[in-house]
Amino acid sequence: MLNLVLIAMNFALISYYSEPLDYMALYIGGSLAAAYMISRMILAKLLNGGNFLLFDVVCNMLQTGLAMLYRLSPEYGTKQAYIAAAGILGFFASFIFMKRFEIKHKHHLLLGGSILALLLTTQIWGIEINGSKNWINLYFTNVQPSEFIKLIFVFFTACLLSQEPSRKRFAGIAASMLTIVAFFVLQRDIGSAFLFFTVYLVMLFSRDVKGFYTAASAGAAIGGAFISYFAFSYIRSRVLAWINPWKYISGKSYQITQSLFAVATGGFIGTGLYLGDPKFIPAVHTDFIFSALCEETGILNGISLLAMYALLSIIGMDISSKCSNPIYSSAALGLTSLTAIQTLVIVCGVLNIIPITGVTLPFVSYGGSSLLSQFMNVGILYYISSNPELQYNTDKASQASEAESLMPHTTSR
Amino acid sequence: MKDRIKIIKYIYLSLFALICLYLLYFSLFESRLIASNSYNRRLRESESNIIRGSILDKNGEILAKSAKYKAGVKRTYVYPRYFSHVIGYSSAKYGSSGLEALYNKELMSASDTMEDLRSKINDYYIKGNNINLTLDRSLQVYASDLLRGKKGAVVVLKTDTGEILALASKPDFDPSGIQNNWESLINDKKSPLLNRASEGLYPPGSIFKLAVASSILKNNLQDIEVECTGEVNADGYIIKDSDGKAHGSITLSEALKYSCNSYFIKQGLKLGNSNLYNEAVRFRLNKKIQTDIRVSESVFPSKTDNRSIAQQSIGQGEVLMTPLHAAMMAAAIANDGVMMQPYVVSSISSSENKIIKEFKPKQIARIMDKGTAEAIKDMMVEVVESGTGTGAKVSKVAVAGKTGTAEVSGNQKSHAWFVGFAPADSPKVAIAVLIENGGGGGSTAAPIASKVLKKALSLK
Repeated sequence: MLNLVLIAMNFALISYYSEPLDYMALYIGGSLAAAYMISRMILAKLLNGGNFLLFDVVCNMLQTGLAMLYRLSPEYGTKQAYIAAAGILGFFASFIFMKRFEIKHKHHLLLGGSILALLLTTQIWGIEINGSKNWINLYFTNVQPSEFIKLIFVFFTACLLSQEPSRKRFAGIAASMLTIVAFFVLQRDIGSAFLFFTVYLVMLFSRDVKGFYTAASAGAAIGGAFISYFAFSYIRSRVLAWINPWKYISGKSYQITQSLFAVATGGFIGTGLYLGDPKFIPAVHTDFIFSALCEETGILNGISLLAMYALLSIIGMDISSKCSNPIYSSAALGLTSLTAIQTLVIVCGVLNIIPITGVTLPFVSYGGSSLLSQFMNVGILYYISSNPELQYNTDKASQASEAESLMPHTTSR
Repeated sequence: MKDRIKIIKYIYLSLFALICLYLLYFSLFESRLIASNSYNRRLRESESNIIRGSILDKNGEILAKSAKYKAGVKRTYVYPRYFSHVIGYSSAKYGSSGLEALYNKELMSASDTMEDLRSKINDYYIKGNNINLTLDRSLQVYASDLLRGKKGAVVVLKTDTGEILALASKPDFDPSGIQNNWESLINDKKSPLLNRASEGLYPPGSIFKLAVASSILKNNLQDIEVECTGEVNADGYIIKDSDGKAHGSITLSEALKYSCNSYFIKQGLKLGNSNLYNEAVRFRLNKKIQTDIRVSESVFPSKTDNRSIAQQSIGQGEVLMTPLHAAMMAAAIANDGVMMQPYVVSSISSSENKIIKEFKPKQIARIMDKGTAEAIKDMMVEVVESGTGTGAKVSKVAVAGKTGTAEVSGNQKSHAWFVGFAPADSPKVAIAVLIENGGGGGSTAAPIASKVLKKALSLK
């Protein structure tokens, strides 16, 4: 299994990058392959015991995204390659960080406080890019704090949920969630608002034996969605564009119809790289990269990419269920859900299954903050899977044997 | 808790699976329709990897085709100037016109999914569908050549089906040189881009007397003899007969034969605006004509003052018609009073000549009963036999027709018209000839009609 993925990945790397006779592309391809192999060696030699497949799957997505981005714009592709390098460093950094600091329930105040601080910073000093006021100018670059809040948020929620939910505790949790979501709605970042709340719901559901609190939260969310629909015109306009895209084809539905044209024109096997016109889609390198991918490499490739996300979800959920520490198990669930739900939201969005919300396609879309945060996300997951103290005792033996069975493959490469 | 995680895992997996299924469904059933939406700019932009379909005449002769070259796909017009208005042009910068624009979707898409797939796998080139026309290449070329040096149009229809056999308009342009000549083409005072045959609006003059005659017959006024003194005074506005000639006491048949203005004005005033207006609308003036090319709407204003009624009774004033509409009027009389919908595309076929869609003749409406049509037909035969339209005679064939000499404002020469059909006893083709500022209909338009009719009847 692992070998197959590796071969497919290496093969894909070569075939993708050797096609254009562009030295920068070859350089990026070569560096990526080298970075991947070095990282794998570090994982095998120094940080052994974790789930390697996690890293493989993520790198597969990364190379798909890099190839597509480079094709759309060599400038963005090159930038993204640097960000990917930083991302891989972020992967190891978050691993080391997690190894140094053990997160306990008492940290929830600190975590909650930092979330609030970041949200307030964004609210006060934030600048607006592409209609959402969720960016901060750091002079040398713009960052999206919400991408990093995600990670803190997952641990914050995990801490809050690590104790048996009572009515009083639930009230506190609900108040925190409401505050966070309200900030995002005010910043016109509807994608984040939805993502955070759904991740919270999923995490709550895993802990909430009777399901009462989950149902109450979900009910409140539906009510909130209705109120927001009438209160905020930008939400209404998205919904209208979703219900009848062809009616507003040259207005508010322009983006989504261009996206549908791209996927429809590409068909099952696609037009071929460089043979389509994905640039007609606004924001094609961020939110709509999945449409560009479908146009040029076909729905077939779209499906195989989705299979990768499904695989990542399986791995993440298994890490969560094997983890004995309630906070870390919950966190693994939350981190995996972040990626899975974000993928579902944006893929369904660009296919007009649900209204479009501006979130990135994990590991594929262009975006510094988001790629770095996603690498840190899997870095933490890898840590959880690799730390024997966090595993159930009964599972330790099988975990070890599994790691052993992986060894020959990696060394034989 | 472990159970819950398992549930969540399966929810995620099934959601991913559902999207994959939706993508499959989308690619199989929805993508074709969505991709061919006219707002999909890829239709034009991707011309480089689609070989646009060919356009063929009624005998399968190629009029426009695309072929693949190293630099991409190039479109060739085999008879560029002869079909410039009907087929039009297709330019990335200036858009497209004519059939190239109206049938862009069909020309740019392959109907056969397997062909689509096969060509995609082979070399990324898809062959678009072909458009088969009702036009006859040789007749179109012949008619256009007769208009050389003039401004005008010739339309030939099949009387029983409405198929357009020729739709010539001069001056013309070269559709393959559109990029280089655009500025001079749009600034040219002769308006070469205008398809005079179907979009040019002209005062019909005396050919409109056919419609007035129909109204006279329907109102049983044909037996009234009218005294022609050579001029009529309609509320102080004097209209003369051609050369001021007085025809004396005259009947409908003679009035049509000699195109007597006095007769039709006096009868028109008797009929009044409502009768004239209703008859004009029945003849489809003021109405959109359903067809597969761009057509202007002919005009008959509703006016109640005698002066306007007098003018409109002889096709002057503010009455306007397109040459195509004039030909339809003649064809309807030939077709026992039933007006057929004109059309230029007979079928769409795949690149391998498999017919995908066929267009059948359609009736617009019956505009007069058979008796009325027969009566007008007999009078039209007289016109060509010994009236104003003798120039339209064709040897061994009886031609039915009506001339028109439409006065235009200013000091310009009149527009010359001829409408008719042949053979008169069993009509096959109808014709309209218009020469802008050509002078007399009988002297300028009728001889051209004679030649075109002869040629049209010689075709299979």
